[in-house]
Amino acid sequence: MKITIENLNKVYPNGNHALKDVNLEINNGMFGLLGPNGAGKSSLMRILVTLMQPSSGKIIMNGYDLTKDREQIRSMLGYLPQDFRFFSHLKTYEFLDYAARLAGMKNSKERKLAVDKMLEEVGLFEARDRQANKLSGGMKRRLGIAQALINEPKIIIVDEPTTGLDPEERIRFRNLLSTISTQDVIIILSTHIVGDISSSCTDMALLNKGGLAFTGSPDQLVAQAEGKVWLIQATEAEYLEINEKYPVISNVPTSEGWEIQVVADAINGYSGENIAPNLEHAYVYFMESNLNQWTAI
Amino acid sequence: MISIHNITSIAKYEITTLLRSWFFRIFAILAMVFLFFFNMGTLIMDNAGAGSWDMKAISSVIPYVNLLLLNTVQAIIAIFLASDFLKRDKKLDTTDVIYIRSMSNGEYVAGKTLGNLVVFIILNLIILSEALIFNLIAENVTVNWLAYLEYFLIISLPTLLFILGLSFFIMSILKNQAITFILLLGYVAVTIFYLNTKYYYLFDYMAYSMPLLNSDFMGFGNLPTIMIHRGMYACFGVAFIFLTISLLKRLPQSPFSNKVTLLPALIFFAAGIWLGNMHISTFARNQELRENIRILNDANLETPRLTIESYQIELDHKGNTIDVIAKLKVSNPHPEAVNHFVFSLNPGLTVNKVSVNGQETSVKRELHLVEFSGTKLEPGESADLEFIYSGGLNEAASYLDVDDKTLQKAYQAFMFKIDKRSGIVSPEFVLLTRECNWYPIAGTSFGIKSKQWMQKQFSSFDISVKTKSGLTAISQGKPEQKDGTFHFTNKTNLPQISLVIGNYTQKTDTIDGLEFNLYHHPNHDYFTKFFEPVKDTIPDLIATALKDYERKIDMYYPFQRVTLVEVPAQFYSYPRTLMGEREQVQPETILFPEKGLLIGEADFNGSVKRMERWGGGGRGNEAQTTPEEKKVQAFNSFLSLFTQESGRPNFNRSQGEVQVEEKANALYAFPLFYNHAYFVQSDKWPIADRIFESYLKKSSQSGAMGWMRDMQGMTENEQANLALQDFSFAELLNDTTKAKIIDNVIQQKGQSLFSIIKRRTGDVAFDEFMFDFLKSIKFKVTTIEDFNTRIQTQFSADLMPFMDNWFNSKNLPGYLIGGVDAVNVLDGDRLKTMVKFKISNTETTEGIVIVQFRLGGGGGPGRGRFTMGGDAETIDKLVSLEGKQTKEVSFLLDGTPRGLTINTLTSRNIPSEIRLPLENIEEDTKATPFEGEKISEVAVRLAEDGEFISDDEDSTFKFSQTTEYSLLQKLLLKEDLTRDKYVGFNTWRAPRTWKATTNSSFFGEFIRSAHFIRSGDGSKKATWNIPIKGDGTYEVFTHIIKQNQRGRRDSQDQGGEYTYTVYHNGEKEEVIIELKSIDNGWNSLGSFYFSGDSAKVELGNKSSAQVVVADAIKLVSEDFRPYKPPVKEKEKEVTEEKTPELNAKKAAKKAEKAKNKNNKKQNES
Repeated sequence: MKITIENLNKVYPNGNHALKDVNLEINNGMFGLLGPNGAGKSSLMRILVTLMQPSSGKIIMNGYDLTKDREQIRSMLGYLPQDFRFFSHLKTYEFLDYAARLAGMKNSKERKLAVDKMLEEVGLFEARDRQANKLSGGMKRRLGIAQALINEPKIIIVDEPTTGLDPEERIRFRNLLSTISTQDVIIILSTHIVGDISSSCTDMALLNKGGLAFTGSPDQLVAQAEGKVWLIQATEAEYLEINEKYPVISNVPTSEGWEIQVVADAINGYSGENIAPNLEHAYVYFMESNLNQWTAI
Repeated sequence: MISIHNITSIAKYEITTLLRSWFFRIFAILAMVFLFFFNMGTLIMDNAGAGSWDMKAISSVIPYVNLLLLNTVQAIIAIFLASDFLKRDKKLDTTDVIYIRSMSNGEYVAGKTLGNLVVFIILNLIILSEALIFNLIAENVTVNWLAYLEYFLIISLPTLLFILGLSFFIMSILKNQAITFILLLGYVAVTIFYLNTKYYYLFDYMAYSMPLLNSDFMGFGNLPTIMIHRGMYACFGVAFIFLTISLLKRLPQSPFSNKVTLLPALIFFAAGIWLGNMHISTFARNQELRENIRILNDANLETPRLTIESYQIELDHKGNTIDVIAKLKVSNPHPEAVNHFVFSLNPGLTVNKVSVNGQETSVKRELHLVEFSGTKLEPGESADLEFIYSGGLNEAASYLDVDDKTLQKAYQAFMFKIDKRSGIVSPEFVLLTRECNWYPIAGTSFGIKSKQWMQKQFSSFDISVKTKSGLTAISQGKPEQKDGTFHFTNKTNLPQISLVIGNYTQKTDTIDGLEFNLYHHPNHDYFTKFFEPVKDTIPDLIATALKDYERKIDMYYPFQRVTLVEVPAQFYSYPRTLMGEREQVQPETILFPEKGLLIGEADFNGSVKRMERWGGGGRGNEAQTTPEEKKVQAFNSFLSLFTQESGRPNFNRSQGEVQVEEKANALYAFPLFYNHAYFVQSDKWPIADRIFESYLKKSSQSGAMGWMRDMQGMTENEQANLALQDFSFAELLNDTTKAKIIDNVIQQKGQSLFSIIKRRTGDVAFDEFMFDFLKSIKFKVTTIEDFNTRIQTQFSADLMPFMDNWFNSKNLPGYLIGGVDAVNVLDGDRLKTMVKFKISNTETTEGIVIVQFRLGGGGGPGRGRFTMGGDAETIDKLVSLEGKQTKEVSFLLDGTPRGLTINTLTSRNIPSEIRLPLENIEEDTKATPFEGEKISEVAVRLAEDGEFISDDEDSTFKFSQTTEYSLLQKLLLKEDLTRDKYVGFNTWRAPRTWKATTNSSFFGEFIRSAHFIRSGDGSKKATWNIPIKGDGTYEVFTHIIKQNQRGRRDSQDQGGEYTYTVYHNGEKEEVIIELKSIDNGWNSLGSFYFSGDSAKVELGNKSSAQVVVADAIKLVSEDFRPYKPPVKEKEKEVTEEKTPELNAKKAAKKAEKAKNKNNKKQNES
């Protein structure tokens, strides 16, 4: 499986240039799409799931052209939108059955088995007869992922899937996606929660202001922040000063004052030590140094 | 490829979702509950447990009405649900996960549409099942299974397709459910309330007003029209659905598919428009044809018309067409030779060949006319013509004299509509009457100027009919059936014949030498079993009813047989001005509507049930009536259907007020006795025949319509009289706006013409003359001149000089009645009641009045010199008065009369029937019994010397007029504001402004009226300015009648008071009259000193009674009666002022009492 995006642009009728010359190649496995709000993540996702027409550019999915061969592309898709809460008078299993039917499962026996299996996988089997509308937030999300995964789609696109989930559910969810990603599928995960990507994605891209800021593996992004993350023991007065100058990633109050982590090329005049960066540090460093954006965020 | 799987998947879950929506559930439950009670009521409970005949007579009506009701509501609910689906889609992100699935937009919209549709279909099925259950459990009604499917396909399906499509489409464009909903509701309202019947129901998308009755004989009466109309809406609906697909906010599967769906959208739109155009153009074409025929007829005004001596018709019925060979023997009745022949034949029939005396001739066929020349026919000479023609009928050529508005008016029954057919040629059923012009008729048909069309010819008819096996042909004459051919021969000449072909069962019997035939639909025998217990008496009942009717109209039934043929309910006829007969009544034949739909008398079971529950039949104690007697009564009431001139009146509700329209009974058998056997022709007065008809019908208003008068304000006879004061008879005949009362005008004028004749000939002599005259002209055309010649010969009286005046004058007689008195006297050894009164005709035109006595319990039919043969409980006497003549008349009656009604016929009097109750009749031993009339020199006076009266009809009467109507009211109540001058007297919905109403008991010269108003704050005043002569003391009287005197029994009206203000000599004084203690007639307000030319009395609308009535004020000068004691004065006053019901002495005492009381009050104040 392979998705190739070439010179993708999206300009909304109001003039908002949501995507600017995006070029991207996505291969099998889980692909993380990271970026601040308004970076163009959702626009890209909506274009990828054929809900929206790009202004220009070309997208080839597994050999099919997105603007021409929607029929083939749609039959490969599984999609979980960001805001997935409202259902009309359908029960949990009915909704899933509906999705399964539309995903092309014509045989009712097979469909029934697949629906039950999927319900068990996402832990909703007990709630199968409940009104979908009355499920809890987490359960709705799980139902969302279930409908996205039904009938084994080749391309799974999930938009902010872990928002609103408790940690346990989040981990289960990640693991589920990881398991699937080992097969011949592409999973595109759009998120602003860095942890989601670090723990599961093999490849990722960083979107900012409609443009592609970084593509590569999470490790490559982390490598760029090597030696740029500092742990500083600071007094109250120093903390206030540092906060003015550098992006502070974490601050823990201690008996003497504060233990803070900052991302910076150097911390002149303060005593601190370099620590190993994680993806979150890398994301902040990247945004700060390359794009001078952090403070804005 | 379209994926059915996708469509059904979407539909399935749309259905699930909709079925679970509360909106839909509540609607469905309400619909079920409402229709449950509706069916329960109409099919089971109504009509004393027999069920409504309108619903049950024709079984297809049950699914029809049920779906009609459901459809009206579902058409609105569908708008909401349909616009809801796009709204839901917009709101929910959940839709995205559906949208990204691999399916086309077409499949998606199709699925959604199907889902919506199925949900409504389910509801329809539930409602139909409910109706079916009621249909099955209701008594005496069959099940028309096919109709359940047909009505669903015709009513519900196109409506749903259209409204769903339209809602989807509007919602796709506006993207706002609220606006869509409001817009579409507006559309629905406009189609129902405004566009409704326009262009023959073109805009009636929910088939609410379209006639859709399904006859057991021929199914739908207008199937092509229905198919075109419903097809049009289905096409538009589908077109909108395709448009919705291309407007759907979802990227299509393939880049071009949005444009691709535009093509079918366009095709369906085009189809819809094509069908719509077809629909309109059919009616436009028909209208044009009608107009062209009229013009063509008028253009041929001068063409002489031949007389057709005989017809020999061979008709071959072939499915939707007929093949006819008509052999005619014609002659030239004119004094000059005729060489141009003109015949009329329905324009739907193609003339293949015409021969004259065996020689084929070339023919000009223009519209309905068949013209040919080349043969010269000398005066009196005859020729043999042969017409060979074939084809179907064009019904647009019928009823050319009926205006478009009447033509387009819906034929409504209960809640459903019935199509109007004037003739039918279909594979299973044929119905042809002269109106269809299915055989050649000499001359032209109706034109604005041409009167030729209504001039009858009597010809000898011989007809043979071939049709497919299983069908029976029915026509006039002696029937013979041989080798599948029906042959009918007639001994007498007839003015016209009809032909019915259908699947019939025949019942026949000979009663009193007359052959009675009944042809009914094989499944419509609901009566044989019912009348089994009394079947032996049925022939007697028929014979008696016939004899009674013959006696009533003083004519004999002219034919050899009576045939009653059941015909489809769609067969319709219009009443017409210049012809008295309706198409339902043909020579020796009555075409009876299918199963007596809309005819309560045909509901035998219902009649009996009603008698069981509420009593009835008027024959005393119900408990003593056996079931058999009830059945006999039911049968008699069915027979009476044919002997009643007026039908069930029409009730309309307009602005909350009930309007009653008098309606003629289309099945009235009188045309069998007169119209199809006699014809009095007059080129100058074409109405002559109707005048004879009207005279012979003897249809004087008998007072049965009294209750209608109360509601309407005036009867149609009175409206006719009112019209005759302003317009001449000639003018009214040509005034189409007066069509509603024209029958009454004809009747009134007929009565007055014959009263002129009778005055010269004497009653008995004239009746005998008339009997002989009719006998001599039976089955022949005669002329008014011929009639006049005979009158001249026999009575030396010439009618002609009167005719012009009668036709063109606007003068009417006007009567004043006074001195009514009734006493019991001994006539020999018998106690009789003598009723006397004085009557003056104050106008110059002579006139006649009918004096009718209603006999109270036990009175047998009286036989006086003037007896006209009234019903058992009334006695009619005629009194004629020349212009300016006064008569004192006295009658001796065997029974005790309850009341006296003086029907003034054509006169200035309103009410035209003056009803005077006769109460407290005491024995007068001194009175000499006398019956007869005396001419008196002293006319009846309204006011004696020294009396001054102001009536509410006089210019001296004024009332405060407030324009209380807002602009909106003016727009909406236009009709109401321009209504008749005299309104119905209605206490519970009394007017807020002073309105005039008439009643016998009110005071007045010719118009006995009073003004009345709803009680209020007293600001609305009625004022009389009574002219007086000389200063002096006058006693003031007000004319009031007790409310219950007007036949109202609600005791609420008894209480209350009126406050009069008397202005006298610069002062004013309030006088309060308690209504409880008033007397009928004049009540004193006390004596006052007046100076100047007039005295002013005011009446305000402040009262605790519901209404305040202002009638008349009388001033009696004290100077005129210094020598007489007041009691006697009042006695005179009472007797002369038409309150004969009161014992004079009693009245005087009461008046005195009231006066004292009032005086006391004045003193107190």
